[in-house]
Amino acid sequence: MSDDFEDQLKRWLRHRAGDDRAALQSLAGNVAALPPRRARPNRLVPLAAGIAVLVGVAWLLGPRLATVTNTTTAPPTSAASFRPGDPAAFAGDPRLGQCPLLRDDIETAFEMAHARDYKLYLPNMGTSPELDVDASALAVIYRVGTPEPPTTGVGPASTRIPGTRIVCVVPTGQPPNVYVDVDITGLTLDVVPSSPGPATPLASEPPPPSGPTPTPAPAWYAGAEVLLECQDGQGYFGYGWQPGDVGTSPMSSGQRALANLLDRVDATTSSFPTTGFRLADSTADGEVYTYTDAGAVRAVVITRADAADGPGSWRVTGVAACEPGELGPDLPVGAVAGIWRDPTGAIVPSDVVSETADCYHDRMLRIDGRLFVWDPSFGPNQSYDATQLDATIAADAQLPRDAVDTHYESSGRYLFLARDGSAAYLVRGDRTERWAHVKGDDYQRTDCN
Amino acid sequence: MEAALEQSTPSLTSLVDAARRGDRAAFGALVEPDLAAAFGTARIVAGSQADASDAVQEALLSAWQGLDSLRDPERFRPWFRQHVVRAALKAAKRRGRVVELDLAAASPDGELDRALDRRTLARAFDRLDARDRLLLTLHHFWELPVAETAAHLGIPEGTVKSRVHYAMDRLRAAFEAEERR
Repeated sequence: MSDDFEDQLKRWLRHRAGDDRAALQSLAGNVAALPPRRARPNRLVPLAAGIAVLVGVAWLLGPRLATVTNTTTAPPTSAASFRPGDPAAFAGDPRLGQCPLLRDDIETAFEMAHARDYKLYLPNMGTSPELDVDASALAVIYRVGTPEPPTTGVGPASTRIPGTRIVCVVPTGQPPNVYVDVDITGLTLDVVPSSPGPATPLASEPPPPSGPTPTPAPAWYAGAEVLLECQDGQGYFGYGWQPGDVGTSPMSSGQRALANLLDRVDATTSSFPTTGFRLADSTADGEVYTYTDAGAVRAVVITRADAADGPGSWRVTGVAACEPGELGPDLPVGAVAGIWRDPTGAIVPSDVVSETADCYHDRMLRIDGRLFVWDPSFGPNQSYDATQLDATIAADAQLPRDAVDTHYESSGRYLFLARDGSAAYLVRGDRTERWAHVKGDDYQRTDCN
Repeated sequence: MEAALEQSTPSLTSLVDAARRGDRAAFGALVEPDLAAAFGTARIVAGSQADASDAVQEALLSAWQGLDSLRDPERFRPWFRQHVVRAALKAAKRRGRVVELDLAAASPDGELDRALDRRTLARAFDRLDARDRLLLTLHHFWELPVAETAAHLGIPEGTVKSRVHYAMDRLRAAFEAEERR
C-alpha cells in the first residue's frame, strides 16, 4: 500500500462514480415525469373546534349572498338555476358552513359525486389520501389573496405560493379539509363521476398461490429502522456512534452480541441507550431488541446468526435510533440530547445550537455560545443555583409576545429566545418550557456523581 | 407554467417559485448542476448503478414534493444535497454491503495492475459501514467543506475530522486484508 493512499482513494471514487451519461439522461428525463406536487398538508383539521366559532363569526360578518334563503339550515339549493361553480348554489348547504373562511372570498363552489374524484376536477391538486372516500363532497375554491384562517400552531409562519389558492373540501358527513397553495390550473367542472371500485380482483391480477404458504419474513429483517416509532417520523442513527465501530467480533449468542455492542457504546458522548433493551421478537436465526420510551420504540438492535463466522456465531447486523431527544431522560452526561434543524430540515451545526445531557436528567443548551439550562425538577430542589441564573426554570411558562423565533426545531420543539437574552423557550404544542440563561455562560457542577 | 426557463438567467428564487407552482422544467434546471455529483455519490455509497438511480430518483421526488419546506430558495443546492445524502444512505442500508464487482473495468493489458488495485480498493471500501462510505464520499469525492459535511451528518466539525481519520484507518486495514486474500 502506498503513501498516496488518499489520492488513490480519490481517483477510485471518481472512477466508481463513473460518468454514466445514459443514466443521467434517464434521470433528467424522469424529472419531466415527476408526479404532480402534493397540496400542502391539511394544517387546519385539528382546529375543528375553533372552526365552528370562526364560521359563525364569518357568517355574521360576511355579506349574505344575493340568492341565499333566509335560513342557514335549509337543504342545498338546486344548482339548476345557477351557472356551474356559482357559490350561491350552495348558500344553504351546511357543508359550506364548515369551511372556515369568509363566504365573500369564495370564487367557485361545486359538488363532487365522490370525494375521491377530486383529481378529475383539480388535476394539479396533488395527492390527498384523506379524500379517498366514496362520500359526495363539496369543494370550495377561494379567491387569490384570501388570507389563511388563523392557526394556533407555533411553527414558522407559512409562505404562500403566488397564484395558488386555498381550497376547502367537505365530504358529506365528515370534517372539512382545508388546503393552502393549491394549484387549480386545469380545473374542470365537466366531470363524469368515477364508478365504484372493483369488488373482485381484476383479471390481470395473479392467481393466489397454491400449495403451502411460506412463512413471511418478519418486518425487521428489512432493517432496524422499520420498527422505530419516532415522533418526527424518521430515525436518526445513533449520534456519534456507528455499528462498524463496535460489535464486529462474532459472539456466541444474539444476547451476547447485544451486550458486546452496548458495552462498547461510548458512555460519555453517545446518545444511544446502553440499558433498557428487551427481546421483542426472534426467529431461528435472528433476534430483535427494542428500547421504548413513552410507549414507543425509540431504538432497535438486530442480531443475526452468521454462519460465515462459524457455527453458532452471532453478530449485530442492524442498529437504529430516533433522535436523541426522543430517547428519554436517561442519557449520559455530555451526550447530545437533541438534534436541531433549520426550516429547510438541515441539521444546525453544533457550534450554533448544541443540546447536551447534564447529570440528574438536566439539560444544557448552548446557542451561539450562550448557555441555557433546564432542570425537570425545577423549583426549590432544582439542581442549578438560582443566583447564577438570569431567569427561573419553568415547565409551563408563557411565551413572551416579543420572543424571538429562531425557527429551529428538534423533535417537535420550537426554539424561541427572550428578547433580553434571559431565557430560552422550548415550545411543543401548548406546552412551553423556560430554560434559564446562565450568568457568564459557564456552570461548574459539584453535585454529579 | 413552463415559462420560467425562457428568461436568460433565472435566479434560484424564481426557479424555486416556478417549481413550487408545478413547473417541472424549472425544477430540472435547479437540480441539473448537481445531478452528476448526486448520481456519483449514490453510486459510490449505494454500490450499484440500479441502486444509485433509485436513490437519486427518490431524492428528486422527495425534493420535488418537499419544496414547500425550503424556506430560503438561495439555499436550494445544499438543501437538495441533503435529500441526496439521505436517499443514498437509505439505499446503502437497504442493500447492505453487497456490491457489483467492477470486472469490466479490468482491462487485460497494462491496466491490469491498476484494475486489480481498484478491485481491491472496491472490496475494501465496501467492507466499510454505510456511514463511513458516505463520510469518505462527502469528504473525498464531493470535497465538501468540513462544516457542510458536519451539517449533513449531524455531527460536530471536530467529529468529522476524527471520523474521517478513523474511516481512513479502517479502509487501510480493509485494503491490506483484501490484498492478503
